[in-house]
Amino acid sequence: MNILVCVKAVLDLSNVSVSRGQGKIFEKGKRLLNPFDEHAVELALQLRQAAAGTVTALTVGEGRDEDALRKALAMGVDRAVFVKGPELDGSDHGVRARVIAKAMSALVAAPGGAPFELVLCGERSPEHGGGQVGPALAEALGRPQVYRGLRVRLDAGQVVAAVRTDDGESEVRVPLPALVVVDAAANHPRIPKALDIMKAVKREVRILACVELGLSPEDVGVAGSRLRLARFEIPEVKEDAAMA
Amino acid sequence: MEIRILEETCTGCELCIPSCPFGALTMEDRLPGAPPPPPDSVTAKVARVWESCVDCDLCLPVCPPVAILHDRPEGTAAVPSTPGSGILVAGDLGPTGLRPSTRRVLRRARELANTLGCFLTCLLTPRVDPGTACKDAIACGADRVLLVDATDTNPEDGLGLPALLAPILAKEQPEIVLFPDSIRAAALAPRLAERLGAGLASPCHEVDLDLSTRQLLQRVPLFKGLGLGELVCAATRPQMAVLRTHQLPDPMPDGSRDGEIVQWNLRAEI
Repeated sequence: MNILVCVKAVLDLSNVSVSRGQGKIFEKGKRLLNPFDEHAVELALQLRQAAAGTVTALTVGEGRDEDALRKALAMGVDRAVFVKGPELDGSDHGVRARVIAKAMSALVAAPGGAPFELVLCGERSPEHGGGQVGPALAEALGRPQVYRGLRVRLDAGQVVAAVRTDDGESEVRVPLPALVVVDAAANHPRIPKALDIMKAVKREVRILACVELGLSPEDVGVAGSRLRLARFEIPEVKEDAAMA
Repeated sequence: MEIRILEETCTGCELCIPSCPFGALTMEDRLPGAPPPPPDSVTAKVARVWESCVDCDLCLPVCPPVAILHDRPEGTAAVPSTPGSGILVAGDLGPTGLRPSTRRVLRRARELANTLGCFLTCLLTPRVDPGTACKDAIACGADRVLLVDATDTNPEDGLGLPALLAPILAKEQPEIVLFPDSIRAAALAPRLAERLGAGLASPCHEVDLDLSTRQLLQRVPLFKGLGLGELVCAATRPQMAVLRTHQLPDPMPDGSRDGEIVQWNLRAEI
C-alpha cells in the first residue's frame, strides 16, 4: 500500500511583522507544516502500520516550503517530494491540484515507482481556509473521495470511514484507489522526538521541477490560475476594540 | 439605493408601503416646490424611499401608476437576461427543507441579481420529494428552481454529483454560481469547478460586483484575518464562490413571489 500525503507549508503567524503601509507580511522564522495536514500525516502513518507500505509526503511551492517536509519526515514519513520553482508562486488551488496530479504520474513512471492507492489531504489551511485542493485533486485524478474522514480504515480494497456531514456523521465505503480529506478531529498528530527532528534535517528530499513534469510557466503560478488576487490589504486594527 | 419615486406620478395610494419587507417606504407630505399631485390622486401625500432600501424591486409591481423606478447604473441590463444565464445558487436540502445557509445565500444572490438585472436560479438535487423547498426558494428570492433528480448518484464517493451537474451548468451557462458554506458544498464545489474549468473562491466572507466588467469581487480573509484579499475570476466563466453564511442576514420570505419550477429531465426531453 503506497500512500501519498499532500502537505502545505504555512506562515508561522506568531512570528511575522506586518506592514500596513506596504500591505505586506514579513516572515521572521521558519515555515510550519500546516497543522491540518498533520492529521493527514498521522493517519497515513497509522494506516502504514496496519497495512505494510510506504508513505510519501509531497508539497508544491518555493524554497522555504521545505520546512514543512522536514517536519513530515520527523513525524515518520518514508520519503519527501518537493515540486519546487519560483514560477509556482501565486498558484491557485486548481493549479496546485494539477501540479500534484502531474507529480504523481512522474513518481509512478520513475524507476521503482509504484501507484499511490491512497492520497490523503488535510481539511484546509489556516492561511485561506478553502480546503479546495483535496476535492480538486480527486477530480483531476478521476478518483472517488472521502470528504472529512473521521475514523478511516482499509478493508478488502475499500476505504471505510465515518465522515463528518452537515447533519452529524455517516459511514461511507469507497473503492481504492481513492482520496481522503482528513478531518481535524480524526486523530491527535504525534509530536516528533528531538532525535527524529535532527535526523530529518539530513534526510533526502526529492526535488522535482515544473519542466520535468511537462508543465510550462504559463500552466502554473499567476498565469495558469483562474483566480487572480486583484487586491490585498491589511485591515486597520482598532486598539480600543472590545467585545460587546 | 437605486429606487426612485416619480413624484409627479405618485397618487399617494399607499399600496407600496406594505410591500416593502424592510420598512423603507413611507408616505410624506409634499415638500414646498415639489411637483403637484396628479389629478387622480388618492391622497395629497407622496411616497418616500429611505436608506434601508436594498433595491429588491418588490415594490415595483404593486404601484398602479408605475411611479416607482429602479435607476440602474450604466452598463447593467434593466431587462432580465435569459433564464439559464444570470446567477445560480447550488442549494442544499436538509431533512426539513431548504437549509438556512442556502436561504441566506439566496437573499444575497437576489440583491446581486437585481443589481445585474438578471435571473436567479436555485439548483436543487433532491433524493426524495423536495416538498415545500421549491416554493421556499422562490419566496427567498429565486426566479426559477431547477430540480435535478440525484436519486441515481452515489452520495458516498463524491463522483456522481459533479458528473451529473457539470453538463447542466455547461448548458445553462450561468455568469455566477454561489454555494453556501456547508460540508456538502465544500466537497462538491471544487470538483465541479475543476470539471468546468472555472475559478472558485472559497470561502468568501463577502461578494460584490464590478458593474463595468460584470465581475464578481470575492473578498476572502487571508492569514487568519491578518489580511483581506479580493479575488476575481479573470477570464473563466462561471465565476464560482462559496459564501460564508453565518454573518449573512436571514431572508424575509415573500410567499406572493412568482417563480418557475423546472424539472431538468422533462426540460431536456422537450
